[in-house]
Amino acid sequence: MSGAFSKNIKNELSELTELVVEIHSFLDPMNLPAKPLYALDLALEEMLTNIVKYGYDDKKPHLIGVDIHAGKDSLVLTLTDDGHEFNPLSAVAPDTGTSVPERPVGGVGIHLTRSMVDDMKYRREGDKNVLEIKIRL
Amino acid sequence: MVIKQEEKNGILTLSIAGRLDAVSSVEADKEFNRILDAGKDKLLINLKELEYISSAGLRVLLVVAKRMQQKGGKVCLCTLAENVKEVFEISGFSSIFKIFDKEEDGALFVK
Repeated sequence: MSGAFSKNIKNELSELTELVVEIHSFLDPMNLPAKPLYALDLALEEMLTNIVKYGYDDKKPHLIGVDIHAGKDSLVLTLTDDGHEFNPLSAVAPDTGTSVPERPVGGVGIHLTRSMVDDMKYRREGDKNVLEIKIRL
Repeated sequence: MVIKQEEKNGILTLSIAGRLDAVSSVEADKEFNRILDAGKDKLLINLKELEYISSAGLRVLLVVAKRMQQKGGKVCLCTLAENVKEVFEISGFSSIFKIFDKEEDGALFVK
């Protein structure tokens, strides 16, 4: 069981819906367990929305590369964008202990992703951010 | 994502099915605001058929919790699927919400 998925999407949130459907039809025949599939969906959404919302210093259209490699014992998701340099691994974990009124809205996406995947690697390649996320099967 | 509403004995039960992601949570947010504007103050959110939630979905539920708290209403969640429950636990949202394994227990809490 192995295979590769590759697509470039526009830097718009609305691209997510169709992308998820396409990724699911790529992965469905492999009959993978629910947990790594959930982790992949979550990592993809959290990291993509982050790039789309905060990654760019202009209002121009950009392309984001989405690559998935499904191997025998892991899924590897690679996101490539040409936004400003941003390493999600250096982001600070939110305070998850506070009660409702004190809680800032948001800020948990990166924390969730880091907790649910097995490995994350970031590198700056020329003018591109390359984020590689590994999920064990 | 589909939200079903059912009102019984003064408790409004909202059953969310499908995926609550960055795209669908925009619609869910509008729907929740309409419901809260209508003055409902006993809210039971059933997540039995919710397959997926991301931080965007959690954010929408957090807004519901904050608004309910401000108006002195009661809200709780019930019947979370395993993966969804894990997201609540990792994010710390399981300590913000009252969460029940059984719908009946949730109904007793908001009553």
